[in-house]
Amino acid sequence: MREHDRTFKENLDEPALRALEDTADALASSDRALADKVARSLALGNLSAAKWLRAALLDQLGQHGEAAREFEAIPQTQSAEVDAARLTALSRACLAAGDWKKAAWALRDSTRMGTSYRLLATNARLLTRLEREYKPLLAKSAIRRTCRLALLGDATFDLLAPILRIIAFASGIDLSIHCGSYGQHVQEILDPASPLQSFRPEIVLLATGWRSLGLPEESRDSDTAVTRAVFELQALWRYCRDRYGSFVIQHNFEVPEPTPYGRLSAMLANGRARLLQRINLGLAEAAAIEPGVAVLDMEQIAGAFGKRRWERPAEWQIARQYPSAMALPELARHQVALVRAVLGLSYKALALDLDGVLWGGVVGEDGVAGIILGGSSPGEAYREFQRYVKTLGERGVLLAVCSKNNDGDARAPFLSHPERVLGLDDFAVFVANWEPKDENLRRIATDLHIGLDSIVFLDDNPIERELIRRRLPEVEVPEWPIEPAEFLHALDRGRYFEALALTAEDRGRSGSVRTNSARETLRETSGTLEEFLRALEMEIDLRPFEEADVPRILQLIHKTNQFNLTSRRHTEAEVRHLADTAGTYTQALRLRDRFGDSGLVGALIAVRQGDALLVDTWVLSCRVLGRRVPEASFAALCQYAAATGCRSLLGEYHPTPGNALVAEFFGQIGFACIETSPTGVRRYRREVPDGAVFPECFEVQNRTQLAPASRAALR
Amino acid sequence: MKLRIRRVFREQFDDDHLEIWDEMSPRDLPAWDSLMQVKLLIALEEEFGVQFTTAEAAELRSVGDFLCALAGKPTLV
Repeated sequence: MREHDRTFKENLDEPALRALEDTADALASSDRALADKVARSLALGNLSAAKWLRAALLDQLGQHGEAAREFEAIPQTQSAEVDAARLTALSRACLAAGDWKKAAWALRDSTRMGTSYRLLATNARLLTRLEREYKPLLAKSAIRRTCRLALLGDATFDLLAPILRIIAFASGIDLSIHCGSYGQHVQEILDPASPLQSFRPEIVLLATGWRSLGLPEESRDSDTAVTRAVFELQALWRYCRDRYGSFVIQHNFEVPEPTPYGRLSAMLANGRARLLQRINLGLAEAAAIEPGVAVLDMEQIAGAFGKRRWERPAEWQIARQYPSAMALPELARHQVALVRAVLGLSYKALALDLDGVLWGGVVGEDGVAGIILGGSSPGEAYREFQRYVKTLGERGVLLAVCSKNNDGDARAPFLSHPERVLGLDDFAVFVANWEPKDENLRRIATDLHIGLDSIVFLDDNPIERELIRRRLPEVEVPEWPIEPAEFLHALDRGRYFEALALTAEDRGRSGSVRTNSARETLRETSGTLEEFLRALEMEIDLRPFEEADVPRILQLIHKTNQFNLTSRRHTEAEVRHLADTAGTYTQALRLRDRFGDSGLVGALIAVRQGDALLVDTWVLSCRVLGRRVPEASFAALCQYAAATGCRSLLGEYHPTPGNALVAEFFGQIGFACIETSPTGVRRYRREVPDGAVFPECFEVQNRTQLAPASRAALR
Repeated sequence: MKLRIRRVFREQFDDDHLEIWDEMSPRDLPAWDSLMQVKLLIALEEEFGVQFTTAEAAELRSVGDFLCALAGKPTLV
């Protein structure tokens, strides 16, 4: 509960908001002329409460544009919930005034900020209204990806579905949700005439609760019970994958709180709590080796929320509602974070302010010796936070500094402060100057070759946060606590960087971004391009897709925007299917040079069509462009085509906002454009060249020219 | 209190101009199905800071019923 000054009620809290709304309602319903008079007189007032009342009155009187302006002018409070409510009111007024764009952004910001079920349910209804009139416009501006998701399990999902939709919307995802019938998840998956056939879910969310396992308080044969529970779910996963081509998100099982067995439930080898723990372990192990499955750790989520609040027995009994309505926002945030990971839309970079975030005090004024870092509290809190951030970097999140400081002052603590945890080496980009932060963030995005919508930005200054939210709405700017001991939780709660797997490229990412600058320095000192390329001493390794490469290949397919000729965001199931089809050519391209190993940076899939090979997917990481790598990739494709008796090669260019770079690529490598569709898709063709050779600057290892029969198919 | 109940009804039915009266019940609004009943109960609990018993949840049907039940709650906000 936030403290506020009661003698001068400048700030708002939620009960006050509602009272003001009711007053406006009563006034406007009973005497419109009076309401108008009051609204006009309140224009002279300065208090937030007066502004809110005026805005609510104007809304009631149908002056929505004016109401929106008034809502927008109300200053930030210290309560995220109140700010979120204000944004919802703003969104509603904008929508009524026809300003759909602002309505969408305000709705999104409100959803990011607010946490209560009531607010999010309201926002969900507002989204429905917004979509009713403006769906095509939204699709072009606010939505990055649509996704069909089936929600199956042993509870009712009518309350969860809208919350899922609105939180997904705040991440730029348009979710189409199919809610399974209560308790029918097994039947819906297995039935050949299931509605899932026509719905074709891309993701199946198996939200099964502990009740669905039907375990008694004490089991007779615990080993069998555990194995059977895991096997049965595994069978369902495989059905979903094979029959619908879906990715599966599986809830694991929260251990319920009340039990007549007390501590024995977990301490007895055959107690129910113990069995649930073993089943959860079994699920984690099974999902690790099963392609296309990720477990959502409900035991952890419910525990963090508080199991006593997680379930409301009354709601379960009345409506089979589980978890309680109040817990749905927390649940949905975790679910959407995992959906983001499945779709390749997790955030990629963390941009940080320095003063007040990575240390206390202001380094430009207090000097390195004067900042608060390490030692006893609160310095210890900043240190813990640095440790958390550093580990994020080590597992593949890009770290950037975006600070208002002299560059030298900003770097100093990372070089010499004895309690520092982060070093300059941890940052992929370091920007410290006096320019506006939105320009700096744009620069950071460009330097890292990522979109603004892949960045999370932390700043202790609410004015800077507000500036970035307004100027760069795609950037995620979480609310930041005043208390340093809460920093860690504030960042963690956002679940911004969820991942399905941890690849070698993830671990080496920040290092590879740094070695890129070493390459840039070489380029500046080499004479011709040829000299530069030779001086890099590049080695290319080409081989067909292998099992271990699948996570990284999917990452490339989903995240590459520039060198991406067809932008087909294949799911894991689709990739495997293509690789298994006879005659398909797959190419995983790895690049190493004198400065380091870039790892797996390219993927190509070409399918056989009679005596032609059609390039279905061709992606290359932007980090290796400008080095003739595409030519090498193409040469390997030609060699395979020649070896397997193909006469011609076919290519397609599908234009997207991101891939203008390769618009003329096929033309540049000797293809002729044979057709252009009305949507701008271009089809190309060329004859298979005799004797394709690799550019001289590479040392090449090519294992893709082997005929398909001798390749190990993906399993 | 009626104003607050009306606001809750307007939010749940997504109708800014909905009017309510004491005898209003599911018969009067086709959108007031069993799912809406659950949503109304949860929303009213949150608005007034109370909890309905499972017995009440099964019996409360009209706006008037809600009014009576709420008026009798000791922890009403």
